[in-house]
Amino acid sequence: MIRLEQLKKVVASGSEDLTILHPLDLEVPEGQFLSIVGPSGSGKSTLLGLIAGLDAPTEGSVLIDGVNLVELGEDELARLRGERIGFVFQFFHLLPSLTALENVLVPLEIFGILNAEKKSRALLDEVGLSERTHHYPSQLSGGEQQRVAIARALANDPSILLADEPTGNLDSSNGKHIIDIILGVHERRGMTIVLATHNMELARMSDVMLELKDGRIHRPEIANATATDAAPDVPAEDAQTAAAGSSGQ
Amino acid sequence: MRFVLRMAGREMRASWSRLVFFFLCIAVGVASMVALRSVIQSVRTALMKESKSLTAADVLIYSNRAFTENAAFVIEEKLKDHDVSETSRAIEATTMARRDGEESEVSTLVELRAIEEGFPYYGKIELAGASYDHALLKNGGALVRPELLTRLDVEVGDSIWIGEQRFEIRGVVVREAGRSLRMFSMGPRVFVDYADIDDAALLDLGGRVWRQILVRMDEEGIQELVWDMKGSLANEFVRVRSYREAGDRLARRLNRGENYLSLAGFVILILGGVGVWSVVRVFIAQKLKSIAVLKCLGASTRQVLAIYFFQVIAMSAVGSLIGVVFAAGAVAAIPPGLGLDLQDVELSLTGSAIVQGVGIGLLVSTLFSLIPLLHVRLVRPLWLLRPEGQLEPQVSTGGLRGWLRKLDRLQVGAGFFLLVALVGLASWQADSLRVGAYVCGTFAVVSLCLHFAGIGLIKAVSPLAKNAYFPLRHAVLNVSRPGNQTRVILLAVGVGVCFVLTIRSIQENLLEEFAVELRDDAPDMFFIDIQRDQVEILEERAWDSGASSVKLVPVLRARVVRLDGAKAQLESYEQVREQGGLGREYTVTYRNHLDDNERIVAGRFWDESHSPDLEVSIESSLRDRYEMDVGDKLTFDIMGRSMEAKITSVRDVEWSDARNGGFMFVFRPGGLENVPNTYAGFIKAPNDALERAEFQRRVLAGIHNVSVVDLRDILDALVQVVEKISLAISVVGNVALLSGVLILLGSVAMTKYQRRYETAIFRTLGASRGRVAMMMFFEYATLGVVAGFIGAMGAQVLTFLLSTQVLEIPFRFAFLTNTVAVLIAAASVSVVGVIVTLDVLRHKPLSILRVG
Repeated sequence: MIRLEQLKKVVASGSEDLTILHPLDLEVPEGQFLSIVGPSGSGKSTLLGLIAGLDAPTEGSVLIDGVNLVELGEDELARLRGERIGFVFQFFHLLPSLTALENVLVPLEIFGILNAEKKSRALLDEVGLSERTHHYPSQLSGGEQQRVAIARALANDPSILLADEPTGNLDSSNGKHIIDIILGVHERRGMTIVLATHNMELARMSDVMLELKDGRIHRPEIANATATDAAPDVPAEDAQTAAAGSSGQ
Repeated sequence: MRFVLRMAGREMRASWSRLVFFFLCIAVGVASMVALRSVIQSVRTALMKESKSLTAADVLIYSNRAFTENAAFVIEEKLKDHDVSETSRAIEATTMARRDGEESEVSTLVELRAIEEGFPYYGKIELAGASYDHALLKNGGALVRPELLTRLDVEVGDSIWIGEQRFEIRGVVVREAGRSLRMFSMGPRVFVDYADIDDAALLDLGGRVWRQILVRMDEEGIQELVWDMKGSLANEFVRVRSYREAGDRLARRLNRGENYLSLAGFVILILGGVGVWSVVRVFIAQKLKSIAVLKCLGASTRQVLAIYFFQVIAMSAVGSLIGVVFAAGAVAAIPPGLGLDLQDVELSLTGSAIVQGVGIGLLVSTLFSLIPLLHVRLVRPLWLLRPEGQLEPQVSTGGLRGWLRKLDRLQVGAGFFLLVALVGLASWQADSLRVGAYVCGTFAVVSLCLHFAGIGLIKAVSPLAKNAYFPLRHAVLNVSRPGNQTRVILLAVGVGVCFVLTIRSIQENLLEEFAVELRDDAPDMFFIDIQRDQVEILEERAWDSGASSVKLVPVLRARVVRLDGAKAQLESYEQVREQGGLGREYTVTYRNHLDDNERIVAGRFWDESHSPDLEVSIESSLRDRYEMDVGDKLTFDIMGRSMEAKITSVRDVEWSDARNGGFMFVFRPGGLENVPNTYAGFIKAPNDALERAEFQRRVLAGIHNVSVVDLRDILDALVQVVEKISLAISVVGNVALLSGVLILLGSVAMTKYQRRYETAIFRTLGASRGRVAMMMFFEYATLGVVAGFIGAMGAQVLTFLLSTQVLEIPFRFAFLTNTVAVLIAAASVSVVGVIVTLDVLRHKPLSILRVG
C-alpha cells in the first residue's frame, strides 16, 4: 500500500523557490490501478519520483507498505526500489551498452540472482520480444525499447509498478501495444500500478483517476470516469483517442 | 561482486570503440612515464658509471697521515661488517721526478699514484698503443703521462727517479680512471706499483701524501658503510666518501643532472595524472544516465562506484600496456629522432621501468580517478525524470557559507588524499620529500588559482554576452553557461603549462649554467709566483707558443685584521680570527675594471681616476656572512703592513665562470702599487698533451721560480661529464615537453564529447560550420590565454623554488620563453578546440540529437 501524508515539494528556481507540489494526502490500496492526469508541469512526474524515492520531499512523508521513505538513506531507498518498485519511464532509459536480455537481467543481478536468464527470457517473451533478446537498445524501435523497460521493471516481481508517461514518446500503434501490456500485467499479477499520463484511453482503463493541476489535486479520485468528464484540460486529440477507445470497449 | 564485474565487462564490451580515445589518452600518459623512466634510468646508469670512474671505486677511505693502529683496526672491522666485495690500497703524492743519468739535473713535479692489482674498479686506464695490465707496473715499472716524456726528455724504456727509487717507463697513459683527490694537478701523472713504494721515503713528503683504500661493494650497502665509518673514524683524521658525495664540482653537476631527471619523471607523472583525470571525468559524465538507471533499479552507490572503478582500472591497465608499446617505440626513436649520439648511454626500455611505469600508471590513474569517480555518489536517479536539476541544491544559497556548504567533503578529502599520496610518490620517485612538496604544493596552489580564475573569468567576460557578433556572443555564453567546460580546460591547460614550462625553464637554466663550463676559451693552465720583471717576457712567450688567451693579474696575500662596521666591530686580529674564515689569508688583486663574471650589487665601482684613499670591493657572500657593507672600513695586513681600506662596492661573482679567477677582495689601483706583489697567469694553452708539455717547456725556459698548475685533466673530465648531463637533460626535457603537450591537448580534446549536442543544435538552427568553428575558437583561445598566463606564473614560482632550493643554480626569469609559452598554449588550445569541433561537425546533426 502507498500512503502519502502532507507531501510537499519545493525546488529552487533561480533566486526564488517554486512549489511543485502543495501539501497532498493520498492512499493507494494494494492492487489498485491509479492513473494521474494533468497538463505538463502539473507535478505528475514529481509525485511519481517521490513515491519511488527518487526524490526527497520538502515536507510530509511517503509510506510504502508502512516504511517511511523519508527516513531511509540513498542505498536503503535503492534496495527498496529494487525489491518492491518497478519503474517505467517516458524515455525508456535502457542501458545503451547492454542487450535487451542483459537490461532485464540487471535488477536480478543487483540482488545477487546470477542465473536468471530463463526468467529474463520469459519476461521478454511476456512483452513479445523473445526474438530480440540480443539486440542493443539502439537496434530496437521506441515501442520495443519501452517493452524491454517494462520487462525490466517486472524482473524482481515488484508489488508496485510506477509508470511515467509510458506512451508519451510513442506513436499510437506502439502506445496501444504498451497499454495492452500494462493492463495485462495488472490483470495477471494484481500489482499496484500508479501511472502518470496524458493518454486518456489509458487513464480511463484505471481503477481510479486523479487530476493534478499546478501541484494540487484538481479533481480527486474519479473512479471509472469518462474522458470528457474527467479531463477537461487534456489536448483534443487525446480526448478523441480516449473517446474512440471508450466507444470500442 | 560478480554483478559488479559482469556489469563492468558488459559496459566496456559495448562501448569498446568509443573508449579507444580514452585508452589512447591513458596510454600517452603512461607511455611518457615509462619512456622517461627508461631514459632516466639508462642515463642515470651512465652517469653513475661516470661518477664511479671518477673515484674508481664505490667508496674511498683516505687520509693524509699514516693510518693509526686504531684506525686500521676500525677500518678492517667495518669492512668485514659491511659485506665488502673487494678492497685495494693506493697512494697519491705530489713529488719530484728526475731523469736517470749522472749528468741529469732536469726534474719536475709529478702526481704519483701507487696502485695495487685490481685498480681501478670502475673506468679504465688507457695506454697509447697498448692495453693496460698491472703486470706492467710490477718490479719497478711506471706508466706516465706524455707531458712527462717531454718535460724530462725521456721515452718509453728510459728510467726516472722518484725519491730514491728508480722506475722504468713502460707505457704512456692516455686516459686514467680515478681522478686526483684535488681539483688540479701540480704535474703529470705517474703510476707505479704499490708494492714498490718505500713507505719510509714517503714520510719525507709530509702532508702531500694521501693514503687511500678503495672499496668495491653492492650499491645498497654503500651509504650505510660511509655513515658507519664516518662515525667511527671521526677523530682519526680519516675521511670517507662514496662516489656519490657532492665533494666537488663534478659530483655536484652529476647530482643536479640526476635531480633534474627525477624531477622531470615526477612532473610527467602528474601531467599523466591530469590527463587521466580529464579522461575519467568525461567518461563519468557520459555515464550519468546509466548510473542513474542502475540506482533506480536498486543498485547501491557502492556497487555503482565499484562498476566504474573496475572500468577505470581496466582502462588504465589496457592503456598502460598500450603505453608500454608506445614507450618502446618512442625510446627506440629517440637517438635518430633527435640526432643524438649518446655514446656509452644505452637507451632501452628497462624491465623495471616497464613494471614501475605500469604500476605507477595504475596507481596514478586510480588516484586521479578518485575525484571524478566520487561524482558517481552525487548522481541521483531523479535525473531520469528531471535531468537539468539533478545536482542543484534544493534551497538557493549564496556567499562563502553557501559555497562551503556546496563543497563535497568527500571530494575535498579525496583531493587532500591525492595530494598526500602524490607527495609520497614524489619522495619515492624524486628521492626528495622537498621536491615532492614543492611540486605538489605548486600543483595545489595553481589548481586553486585556476579554479578562482574560472569564476573570475565568467564574471569578467559576461558583459560581452550582449555583443552583436554571434560567434563572440555565444563563445562568452559558452564560458558561463551551466555545465560549461571553463574550469576543466583552465585546470588541465593551466597545470599542464605550469609543469611543462617548469621543466623547460629549469632545463634552460641548467644548460646555461653548464654552457659556461663548456666554453673553449676557459683558461686551463695557471702560472703562479711570476715576478714583475718576468711579466712581459712570459706573456710574449705564451702568445708565441700557441696560447689562445693570456692574462696576467697582480696578486697579493692579505689578511683582515680589523673590521669597523655599522653592525659588526672586530677590534683585534683575535676577534677577526674568531669569525672563522674572515681571518684567513686571502689572495687579492687590484684593477680598475669589473670582469665579465662580476656584477655590482651595492655601492659603485671606481672609475679609472686616481684616488689617494685605499678602496676595496668585496664579494657579496662576505657581506652576508660578516655583516660588513659599503662604507665600512677594513684593516688589512698586507705583507706586514697595516692598511685601512674603505668598502665602496659589493660584487656578485659568478664562480662557475671564474675564467680569470675569482677574488673576494679587489682593491682600487693606486694604493697598492708600492707593495711588493707577484702575478698570476691565466692561460689557455694548447689542448694536446704533448703540445702542452712543449708549451710549458718553452714558456718557462730559464724561469725556475714560477709554478704551474694544470687544469686540463679536470676540465676535460668536467666537460665530458657536463656534456653527457646536458645531453641527458635535453633528451629528457624534450621528451617531457612533447608528452606534456600531448597530454594537455588530449585533455582539451576530451571536451569534444560535451560539445556534440550543442553543436548539433546550432547546426540544426542554421549556424554554418565556419560560424560554429569561430565560436569555439574564441572560447578556447580565451581559456588558453588565461590558463597559459596562470600556468606560466606558477611555473616561475616552481622554477625559482627548485632552482634555488634543490638544484642550487641561479634563477633566471625567461621572459621570452614565458611569453611564447602563453601564446603557444592559447594557439594550440584554440586549434585543438576547433579541430575536435570540426570532427563533431562532420557528423549529421540528427544522428547526435537522436542519441541525445
